[in-house]
Amino acid sequence: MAAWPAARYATYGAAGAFTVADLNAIQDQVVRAGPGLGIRSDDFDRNTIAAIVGLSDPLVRYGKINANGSPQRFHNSASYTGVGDKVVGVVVPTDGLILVEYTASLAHGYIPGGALPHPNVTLSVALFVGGVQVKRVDESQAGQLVNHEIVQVYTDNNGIGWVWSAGSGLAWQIGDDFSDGSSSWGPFAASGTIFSGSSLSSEAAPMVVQVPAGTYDVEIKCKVSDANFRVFMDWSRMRVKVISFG
Amino acid sequence: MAWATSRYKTFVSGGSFTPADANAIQDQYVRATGILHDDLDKTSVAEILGLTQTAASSGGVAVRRGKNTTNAAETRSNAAFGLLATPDRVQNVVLPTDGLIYITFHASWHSSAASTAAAAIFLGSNQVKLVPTGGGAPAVHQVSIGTNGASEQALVTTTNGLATSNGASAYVPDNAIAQIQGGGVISGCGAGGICVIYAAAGTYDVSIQFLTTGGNTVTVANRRLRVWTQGFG
Repeated sequence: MAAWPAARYATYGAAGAFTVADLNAIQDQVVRAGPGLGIRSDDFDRNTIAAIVGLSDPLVRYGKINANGSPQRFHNSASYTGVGDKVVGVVVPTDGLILVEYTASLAHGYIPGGALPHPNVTLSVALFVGGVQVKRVDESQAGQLVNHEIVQVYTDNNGIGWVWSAGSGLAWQIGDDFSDGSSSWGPFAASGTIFSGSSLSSEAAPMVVQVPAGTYDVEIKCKVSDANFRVFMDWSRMRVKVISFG
Repeated sequence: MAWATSRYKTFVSGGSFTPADANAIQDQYVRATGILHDDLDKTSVAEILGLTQTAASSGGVAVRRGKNTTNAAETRSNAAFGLLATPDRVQNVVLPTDGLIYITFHASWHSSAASTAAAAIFLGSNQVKLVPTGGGAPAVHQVSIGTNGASEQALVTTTNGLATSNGASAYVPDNAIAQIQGGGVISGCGAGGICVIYAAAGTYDVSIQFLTTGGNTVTVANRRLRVWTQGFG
C-alpha cells in the first residue's frame, strides 16, 4: 500500500479516461491499512496516547497508593519482611530516574496480651526498590553510601508519628500519643493538604532514586524491634513516577 | 481545504460523474488536509510534550530532557572553571518563558590536596547564582571540596545547589544499586537532590564545571547528570 497521497492520484480532464481501475486506486489511497496511512478517531483515545508517551500502563511509569485503615495493615517483625506501601511493576529505562513522594502516619501499639509496660520500642522505616533497600550518601559512615532508614524510639506503649518523603530520604516526626490504636494526629492527606509538607519540617521534597534499567516494585516498609508491638500504617499516600532521559 | 466532513457530492443513478468530480474528491483526501498515522509516532509526540532529548539539529523538536553518564575518572588542573574532557553537560536545552530547569547531579571527586577544588553549575558561560545567607543580591554559587577532600567524596545536587560530603573515610560509589540521587547526610546540605533553576527563556548548555587552586588536580568520576525543564504555559 502506498503512503498517504500527497497529491491527486491523477488529474482528469474532459477528454481523459476514468476507469474502474482509477476508482479503485483512489479508494486504496485513503483506506486505513496500517502505519503510514491515515488515522482514525480511536487513535486519539486518551489512554492510548498516555501509554504512547509513557504516562500510564502498559508500561508503569506513574503509580500511586491511597490506603487508609491501619487495623488491616500492620507489621510486628523485627526485619523488613512485611508488605508495605507498594507500587508494583515500575518500568525504568536506561538512565531513568524514579521520583517518590510519600506521606503516611505510622503508629505503634502493643498487641493485646503482650507484655506491658514495654517502653523504648524502636520503629524503622525504609524505601525499597526491587526488594533492595535504597542507599544514600552519609558522610559520617565508612564508604558513605549506606542503607537508608529512619529510626525512632518510642518511650511509651503507644505512639504515633508522621513519615514523609524528604529529598535526601525519608523523614519522621514523632507526634502525640494515642491510646486506641487509631490516629489522633492527622489525617495527613485530607483534601487541600500540602503533600508531605508541614510546619514541622521544611524538607519535604521528592526522593530521587537511581537504579539500573529494569522493572521494579517501589515500596515503603517498616519494622519494629519488639514482637509485642506492631506498626500501623495509616493515611498512606504514595506517588511514584519515572523520568526518562532518552 | 479542510478535511471533508461530508460527501463532496451524492451521486445518483443516472447522474453525472465528471472529471471535476474525480479531482475534487481526490483533493479532499490529500496530505495537505489530513494527518498520518505516523504523525502519532511516539517519539515525535514525546518530543512535542517535552519528554525526550532529541535535538532540533538531529531532527527533533527541542531538548527538554537530557543526560550525561560517565563513569571514567577524569582530571582537571586549572584555576578557572571549565569542563572535563567528557563534559558534564546537556546542550541546547530549550527553556520556555517562565519555565524552570531541574538538575540532578551525582558524582565522586577528590583533589590532589585538601580544600583545593571547587565545582559549580553553569548555564552557558554563566555560573548559577544563589541568594546568600543573610540576604542580599544573588551571588555566584560554588561548592569547595573540604578538608578531607584528598580522599574520595560525594558531589551532589541539593535544593541549594551543589554540596559535597567531607567524610573522614573515603566515599565508595556503586552505580549498580538503588540509591538516592543528590542530597544525603551531608553537612550544610539543603533538602533534596533536585536543584531548581530559574532563567530567562532561551536555549542553554547546562553543565557542571570544575577548578583547582595552587596547581592541584581534581579528579571526578561516576558522574550522573540529568536535566529537564518544565513549562508553565
